[in-house]
Parts: sequence; C-alpha cells; structure tokens
Amino acid sequence: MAVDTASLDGAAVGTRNQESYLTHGRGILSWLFTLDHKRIGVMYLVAITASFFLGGVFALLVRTELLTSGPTIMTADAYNKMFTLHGAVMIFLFIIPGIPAAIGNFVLPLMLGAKDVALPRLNLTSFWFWMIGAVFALVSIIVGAVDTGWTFYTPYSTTTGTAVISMTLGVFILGFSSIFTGLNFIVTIHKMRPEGMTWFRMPLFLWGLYSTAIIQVLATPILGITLLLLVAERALGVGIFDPTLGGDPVLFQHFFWFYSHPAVYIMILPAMGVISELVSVFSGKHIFGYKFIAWSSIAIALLSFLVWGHHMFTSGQSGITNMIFSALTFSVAIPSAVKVFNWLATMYKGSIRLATPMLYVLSFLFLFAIGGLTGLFLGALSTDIHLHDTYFVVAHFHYVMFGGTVIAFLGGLHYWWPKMFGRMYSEKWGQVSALLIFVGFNLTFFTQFVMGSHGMPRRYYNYVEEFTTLHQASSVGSYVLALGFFIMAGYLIHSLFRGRPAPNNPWGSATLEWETTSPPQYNNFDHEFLAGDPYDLNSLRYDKATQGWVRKDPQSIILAEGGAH
Amino acid sequence: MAGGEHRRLGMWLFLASLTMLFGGCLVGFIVIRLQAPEWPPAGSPGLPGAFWLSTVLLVLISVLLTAVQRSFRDGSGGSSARLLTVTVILGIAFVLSQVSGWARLTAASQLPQNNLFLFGVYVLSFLHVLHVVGGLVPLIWVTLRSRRGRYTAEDHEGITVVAMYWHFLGVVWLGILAVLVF
Repeated sequence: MAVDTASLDGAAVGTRNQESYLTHGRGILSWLFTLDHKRIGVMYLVAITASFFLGGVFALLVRTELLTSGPTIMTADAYNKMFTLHGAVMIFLFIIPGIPAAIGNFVLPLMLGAKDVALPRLNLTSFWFWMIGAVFALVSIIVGAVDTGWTFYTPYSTTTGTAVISMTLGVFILGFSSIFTGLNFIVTIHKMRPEGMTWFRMPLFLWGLYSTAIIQVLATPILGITLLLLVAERALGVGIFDPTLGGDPVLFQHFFWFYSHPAVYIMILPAMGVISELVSVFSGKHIFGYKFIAWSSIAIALLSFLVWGHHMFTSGQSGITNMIFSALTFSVAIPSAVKVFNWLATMYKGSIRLATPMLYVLSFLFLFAIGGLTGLFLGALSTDIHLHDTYFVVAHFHYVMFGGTVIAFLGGLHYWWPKMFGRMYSEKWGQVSALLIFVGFNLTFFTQFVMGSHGMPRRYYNYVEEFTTLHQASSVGSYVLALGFFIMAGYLIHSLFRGRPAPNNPWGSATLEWETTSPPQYNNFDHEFLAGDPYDLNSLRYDKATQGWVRKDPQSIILAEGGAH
Repeated sequence: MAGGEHRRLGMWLFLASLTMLFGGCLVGFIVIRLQAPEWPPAGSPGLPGAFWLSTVLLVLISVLLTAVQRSFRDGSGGSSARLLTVTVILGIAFVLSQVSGWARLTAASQLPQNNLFLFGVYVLSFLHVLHVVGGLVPLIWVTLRSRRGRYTAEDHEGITVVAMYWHFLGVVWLGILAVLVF
C-alpha cells in the first residue's frame, strides 16, 4: 500500500523512492517482533483503540443503566463492575499509553530526524509488557470482574471476593511498560537531537513527551509498590494498610494518589504538546511564547508531585495539611493558564484553517478551560466538601481527560494520520464527526456538573426522581458521542483503502517528520538534518502539483547526504 | 560509544525509578513504625543471622565488580572473566542466604502474619531478592560474553551498566537493614 506516494518527494530532497515501513517485511511476525518505532507505534495505536472501544462499550452500558432509576438493563452488582471496568480500562489501557506510546512512538524519532528511538529493543519490550499487562487485566474481567472502582481503595479492595490480585498485577505490568517508554523517550531526546536542535528549538510536542516521561519514570514505581503491598496484604491476610495490627488504610490513599495525581499529568501533558503543534500550523503562525510553553510543561510535571493530598480532603487528614495541598493545587493553574493564553495568542491574527485537526484544537481550548476552571471548585476546601464524591467530580474529570486528552489525541491522530498511513481521510466527514463529538460530549457531561452541584453522588445505581431528566439527557449525549466515533471509524478505515494519497507535507508544518515520505520510508530519512526553527512556517510554500507544502530552500535543513543505515 | 551512552543514561533513569519504588516502600514502613506504640512489637525476633551474611556478600559483589572495571581501565581486562564468575556465585549465594533466613524465621513460627515488623522483614527482603534475581540474568549474560572475550578496554559498557545496577542493589539493601534494625 501507498508506496506510490513516495514519488511525491517534492519536499523531501534527498529522499529516494524507498520502500515504506508498512511494506518493508511482511507477515504478522514481521510486525510483532519489529524494532521499528513506527510499527511499534501503529501496533500501540491498534491496541489502545481496541481498548478505547471496550472502555466505551462499558461506558454506554453504564449510561444505559442510568436511563431509569432502579434496574434498567443490569443488576446493581453488575453496574459496580461495569463502571470499575470502564475506569480501569480507559485509564490504564487507553489514556495513559494513548498519546505517548502510540503517537509519541511514531512521531518522536521522526521529529528528531532520527532513525529510531535510542533503545529500540526496550521499546519492543515495553510493547510486550503492555500486551501481557492488558491480558492480565482482561482475564480478571472474565474471571471475576473487579468492583472496587479504578482506585482500588483499601479496606474494600483487600476484602472483596473479586479478582483484585490479577487486575492489580496487570496494572503493575502495564506500569513497567509505561516506565520503559518514558525512560526510552528521555534518553532519545537527550542523546539523539539533530545538529542545530537545541533544547529550545525542539518541537513543543517533544517537551510534552519529555515532561511526561519524567513523571512516568518517577511516579509509576510508587503505583507499583502500592499495588504490590495490596497484593501482599490480600495474599497474606495482613499488611500495612490493615488497621487491626497497627496499619493505616489512609496510607493506601497517600500512596495511590502520589502516583495517580501525577498520572493525570501523564495524560494531559502530551495532549498539551499536540495542541501546541496544531495551533501553530493551523493558525499559519509561529507559536507564541515558545519558552513559556516549554517551561510550563516542566513546571506542571514538578508541581504534579506536590498536590496528591487534594484527593483526600475528606479522608481525615489534618486541617493544615488540607490547606497546604489546597494552596499547592491552585498553583497548577498558573502553568496551565500560561499555555492556554499562549495558544490563544498564537491564534490571534492568524489565518486560521478550520480543518478537522483544528476543530479538535478549538474543542480542546473550550473544554479544557471548563475542566480546568471547575478544578478550582474542587481545589477549594469549602466547596470541595460539598462537591466531594458527586457527579461534579466525574464531570470535571471527564472535561479534563476526555475534553482535554482524548480530544487532543483525536486532533493529533487526524493531523499525523496522512503521515502514518499515506492517505487523506474525508475532510467533510471528519468535520461532521468532530462536531458530533463536541455536542455529544457536552450533553453527556455538562448535565453531570448540574447534577453534581445539586447533590447527585457518583457511582450510585439509583437516584431520586428529580435527577431523571438530567440523567437521561446525559445518556442521550453518550449515544451522540458514540455515533460520532462510529462515523470516525468509518471514514478512517475507508481512507486506508480509498483515500487520496497524502503528500509529504499536507498541512504546511515545519517540523522534521514532514520531511520524509508519507508513509515514511523504512529507515525514515536518507540524510541527517541541520534543524532550524520548528515553527518557521514562512520557510514553506504550497505546491499545487502535489497538493502539499514544500520547503522554499530544501538544502537549508540538510546536514549531509547518505546518513547511516 | 554512542550506544554505551544511551545505555548508561537509560540505567541511571531506571535506577531513579527503582529508587522511587524502594524509597516509597521504606517510607510506608517508616510511617507505620512511627505510628506504632511499640517497635518492634512485643515478641518480635531479631533479624536472622543469614541476613548479615547477605550483607557481606553484596559488599563483596560490589568490590569485585569495581575490580573488573578497574582491570579494563588499566588496559588488560584479563582477569575479568574469572572475577565475574565469582560474582555470579556470590549472587546465587545471596539468594540462598535470604531463603535460609526466611526458613529460619518460619521454622520458629515467626510468620509475616504475626505483626507488621515481621511483615516488613519478609516483604522488604522479598522485594529486594526479586531484584537480585532480576540482576543475576544480565550478570550471567555479561559473564558468558566476557568468557568469550567480547569485552575490550574500549568497549565494556555492558559490564558498566550491570555494575551500576548491582551497586544500587547493595545500597538499597543497606537502606532496608537500616529501616528494620534501627
């Protein structure tokens, strides 16, 4: 497939008509044991998309059950399992690995003008750890679905009769995968930047991945040890979370959130990186405030380690602790807002193209702003006591994680899709789908803000009559959302077979991944780069013949012919 | 050696990650013992003697690995294969000494269920021994390669990163002992 596009090499001077990575090596084994970062990225993409589908089905079942108070389609026990599975699958199998492992693996070495990541074998190992971890998690779904919620709080998780051990072991193994990916990305970014690409000439997506990787490497082991201690406690019948012998169940919460709060930044930081790339390209303007965006990624990564206690305002921790965590939580708003203002400033007076990826950028800005601002209600002690464990928290979380991370993931997927597979998708259907997702999302979750502020608790199977209309509107929203995703699946799959061959640089981006063919040739590039400003969009011009963008002076970024194979 | 630099930085990051793992676990136990009215709880035994032997073994391993690297730095590297073989034997002896320590405790009915001190003894040493077993695999690998003469004064990065990992295991073990003993 798609080798024909390699002839469209107007932008990639020195790139010869080589076999694409998709056709270099055939058969399932050539994929499963590949060391090629692009294939590993695509395998991740397939795997996490499947997980997203599974998690989405669980979500639809939950929303359908909530159409009426009392039993609708399942028992209360089944409902508890269903929302646990939705949370655990979406978080551990989809949203944490989503952007870094799938898009990051594919794009990171290309953005560096490199042949691969620094440690390709570790990269493949990481993928296999992910697969094994996912199998563990899925087996525990089949053997005896876990009903603890995705947070595995003790003492319930140490006493429930469901398959907590296999589920947590699955998550433990997934953690290794995440650590290896992060470690690999840090080494790659440190050691493999091309000539001319100083730290502050790196594309901002790489800053996003880099700060994410720091958290992956330093926070994930805490989840690992937490879950191991949980497993030990279940297996031995005693442990440090067990109060009967002097243990402390609140210690579990400290441990859990010491990882899981930074983990939400593992989810959002790469998303912010994606938005930084897209907003510049589709505004036709140099990114505004580059250094502020880059440093704010690092600031968020560091602050993420200091705010875990805001999940525990009602756990009985001392008032002074609560105040400190509340104050630190507000400080995260600063770097987050720095980013948003810089994105807006990038758009200001730009020539904005409302292509599908840009629609996701606009969605992101709108939804993330709501998600971020509602975080202030939860970070403030007095309002949090009222809103704690209500649908307000669920809505806030989804506005940040879905409205933020998933929307950015979709934007990134549409942006890099032509590079990944060498085909353009239907722009018209892309826009329809983006619109449906935006409308469906808001209908699903804005109603939950209203319900939560009126006192509807999260995770409840039943509800009082006054919430019926809002619950039903939320469920209808989830169906609209599902429709949007089905349309997306349809046109993306269609594009693989019938899509117009993609030019090398369809959007007019100045980062290096667009210098290779679409899809990239097996060894990425035939030459080494002398990297310039990644947001210098004036260095490009539109080429009508290829319907893509080419460099005005192709030689300006080339270091030497015939780079190593 | 670009590849060597990659691996060294990778190992530093991996050790940072493991520091969080062991550090987190030790902090958990410190919190529990600070909350305890009496520590160790009444009726707790001392650490098994085998654990002190384990300590000596780990120190010896670190010394030997340093000697291996020094032998390369001085140019010859000739004794490296023999020294590495000894470290493998010492590594296996470490695992056995830990197992004998546990056996001793179990035989005296000192089980992890008895109290949180014993739970700590078992869990911390088990967590550590898991990493020792994990470290034996690459140690055996570099030993075999060394016996085939694959390492030179210019290129013995494999040994360097394995040595970094084993030094780390030694430091962690001392940390565990400190939390359990003091």
